Amino acid sequence: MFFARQRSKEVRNFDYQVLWRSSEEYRARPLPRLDHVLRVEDIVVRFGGVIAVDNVEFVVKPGEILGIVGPNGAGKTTLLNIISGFYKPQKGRIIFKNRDITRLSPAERVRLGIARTFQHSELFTSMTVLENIMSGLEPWRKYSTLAAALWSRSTKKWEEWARARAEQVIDLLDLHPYRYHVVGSLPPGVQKRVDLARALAQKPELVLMDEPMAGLSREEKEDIARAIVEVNETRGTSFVLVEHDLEVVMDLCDRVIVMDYGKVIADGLPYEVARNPKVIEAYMGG
Amino acid sequence: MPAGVFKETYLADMALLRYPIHKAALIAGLAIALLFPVLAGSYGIDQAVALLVFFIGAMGLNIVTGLAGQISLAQGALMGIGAYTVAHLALHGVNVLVAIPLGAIMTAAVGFVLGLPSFRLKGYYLAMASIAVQAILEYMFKTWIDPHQGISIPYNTKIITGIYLGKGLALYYLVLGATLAAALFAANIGRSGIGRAMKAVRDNDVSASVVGINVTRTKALAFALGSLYAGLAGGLYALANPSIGWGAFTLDTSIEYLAMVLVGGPGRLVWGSLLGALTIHTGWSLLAGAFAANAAIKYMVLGGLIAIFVVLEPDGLIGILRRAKEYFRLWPFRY
Repeated sequence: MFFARQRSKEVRNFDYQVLWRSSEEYRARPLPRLDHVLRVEDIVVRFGGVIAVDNVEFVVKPGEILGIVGPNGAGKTTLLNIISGFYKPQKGRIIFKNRDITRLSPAERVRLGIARTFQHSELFTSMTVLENIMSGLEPWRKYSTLAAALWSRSTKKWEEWARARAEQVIDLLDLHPYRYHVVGSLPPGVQKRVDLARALAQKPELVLMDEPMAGLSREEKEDIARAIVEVNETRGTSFVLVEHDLEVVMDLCDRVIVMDYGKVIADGLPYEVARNPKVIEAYMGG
Repeated sequence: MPAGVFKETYLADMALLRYPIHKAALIAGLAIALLFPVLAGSYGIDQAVALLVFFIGAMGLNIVTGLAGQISLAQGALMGIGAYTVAHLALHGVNVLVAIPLGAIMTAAVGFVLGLPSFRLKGYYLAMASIAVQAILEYMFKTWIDPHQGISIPYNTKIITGIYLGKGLALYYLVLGATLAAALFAANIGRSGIGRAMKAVRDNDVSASVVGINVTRTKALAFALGSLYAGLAGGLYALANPSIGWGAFTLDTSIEYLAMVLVGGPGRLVWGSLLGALTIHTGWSLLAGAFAANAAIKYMVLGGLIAIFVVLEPDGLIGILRRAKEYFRLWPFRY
């Protein structure tokens, strides 16, 4: 039982800075000895006769927030699906931290440290927020079915670890009031936050976000943006954002890639890209 | 003063018995279950054993259909595999206490194979495939395994240390113990990561695979576990009856099992299955008595019941109970 008076001294004298200094996940950015987290080389994807992604090449640097913009049907989401392993490319390679992951399954990529969120938050709608976040930790589960049936010591230990990890993300994204709520009944802004929480609970080094701000109010966008910046600053996590909201892209991203008809037509700092005549042409229609 | 029950560790929050009322209810329930055979006659014991057997089978189907979302209409035939394995082992002189676990494992293996179509099929198509499986197994029972409609299980294989297990108190307590163990294991699996993975596959299999859940393995595991429970139910059925025939493992039984899951509460492994088994089992006996002249009516009533629950109350009786609890929690105030 919690009695404030007994604990008040402990609470008053607690050095909160310790939480920030000692924790292993709060390491300095960027990652050492690597010039990239992700390198996409000559990716080609065809759906029948349509070339969705055409010889796309780019690099995501450690600790970078990369924005991918472009008109509808430019191949942005397809590219994200390829990086997360949902589609296989016809040609090209995907390299994650000096390792070729082109042939790996989505689950293996998650274990390596690539997490992803969805455009229409594809959550597990009849499960609670906590269960949703913890189900993202499934690739790291250590106990067998028999151990789970007996609720053995290894099961307890792992479940406790997973719960603690979920609680960290709940803290980060301020999901406390919704912990035991069924996700399907929550407003879309909170659902997006749960989707991000599920990805961040996996402690990824690269987060792929498909239109994180689509259909959100200004306050909800600010919440998501704050979480992205905080994780990027404190953990050195890289982000790839596919986004239509150019205001967000200009403010948030370190670098922007513009795609049109499956090709990369511009790559550079946000304000440079915004003035690029090719980009203006693609958006305004030549 | 703290107003309510507070948890200080994550494990306490994940425990099965979280509130004092849970413990009280458990003790009361155990007392009733243990004292029941003293108060009830031999007819009551037989009915209770049949109910517990169906409860175990319903828990198995609840893992497959309620938790992992894979509709299966072959639970009756799988129960038959468990029962026939026990019966044939008993014919070779194997004691039932050895044969029942072997039968459950055998059924789990068969169920795993039968779950293979679920890797490719979904929804109605999977239900059709499972009906095909049920038909094939039923045909096998009728023509090869049990061609004379009835295998009587040797009396002496049901005796251990001089006690006959196939009747009365010994049977009741054995089945009760097996049921409690099965329920505990089901509850533990339901609250573990395996249960969460199964629910994730049920809700959104595409996103489950991108999040890193092995969808194929999860489905296979659900079918194997569900069949393990069906096999255990079948084995206990073979223990409780002096002879078994394929009439007990037809499509009717499978539909009854599905009705138990849907009416009781899909996804609520223990309480949903118990409520479902209780409702359908007693309801079935009552209907059979009431409409003895025309059996078609009881099928119509059962079908109507399933339809009503699927359309109006997808959470089953558990959902109704939860709403009642919420209403009375603050009664007479509205909020």
